[in-house]
Amino acid sequence: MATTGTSFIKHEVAHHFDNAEQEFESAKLGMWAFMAQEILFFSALFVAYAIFRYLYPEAFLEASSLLSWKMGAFNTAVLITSSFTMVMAVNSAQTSQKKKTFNFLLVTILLAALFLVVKYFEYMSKFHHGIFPPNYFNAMAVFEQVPIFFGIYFVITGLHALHILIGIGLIIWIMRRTARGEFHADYFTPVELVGLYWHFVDLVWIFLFPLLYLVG
Amino acid sequence: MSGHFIIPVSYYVKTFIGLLFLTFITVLAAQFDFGALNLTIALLIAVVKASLVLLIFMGLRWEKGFTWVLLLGSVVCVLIFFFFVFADLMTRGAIDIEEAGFHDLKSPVIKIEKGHAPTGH
Repeated sequence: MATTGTSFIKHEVAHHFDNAEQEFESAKLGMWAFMAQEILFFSALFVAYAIFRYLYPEAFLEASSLLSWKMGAFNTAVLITSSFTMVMAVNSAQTSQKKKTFNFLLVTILLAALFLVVKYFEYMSKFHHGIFPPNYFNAMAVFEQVPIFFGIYFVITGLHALHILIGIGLIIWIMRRTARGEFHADYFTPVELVGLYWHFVDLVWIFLFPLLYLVG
Repeated sequence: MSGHFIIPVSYYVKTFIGLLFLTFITVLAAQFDFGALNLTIALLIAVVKASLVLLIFMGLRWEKGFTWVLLLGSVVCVLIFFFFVFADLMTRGAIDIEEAGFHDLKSPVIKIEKGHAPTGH
């Protein structure tokens, strides 16, 4: 099974499970429950966005035009690509290709870092123009409610960026375990679960991109 | 876990290309003004993209019933959230006008001078 001649560590099924299959399915179900919670967690911010966009459509139009849609579109492509490299990493782990798994995870991390770098420059250019969260907003705007948009923008993209940071930490963790040879066709649960988490981060951004950058 | 179902790589490649294509369509559609339909079109494309990620990348397509119950349950809760907030918001009008200044429901955002937070509002 090992393609590169490297050794793998045999996985012991925890004693409270009947077999590896049940252990895997239980872990995955737990991850899906966590993701259902994450949807509810982010929904509060999407509702806040919907309320203020409904009340002040012109202000949202103006505020959105202050964002660079090119950077947003670029970051969308970056995240989608990282989701693809992530499924490829999971697939490599499922087929016991240790080196391939490691490399795909590495590319995923690099793409995640690229996303954060673009986000950093975006934030900095906003700060440079006095676009801060509402209480510190100090930019020229026609509509009084423009700061509300940026309040939502900074909280929701900030929380999303925090998810990316946590994701990078998780991927580093499974990279180390991959290098040790813990993942192979008989055991790849952590890779699969971190993969699910990573796709969720991508999922949130798929909605954020048109809602924040392409109002109009 | 021998005999575990492994999804063919071709599924992933096609989904990846599809997602990039739909991102392009999102940006393209934003260049044209469809009036009130702008938001609907943007959200529709986003829902298709999200479904692709969920079904293929996250493998929901091959998941058992209970995972679907969890996920759809969560989505239904979000829809209820939106429904009740907007049931309130969209039917406020008259009360708002009559009682403006009384409940201070629609107090405008205070313009901030020189980057300082207003005190005591």
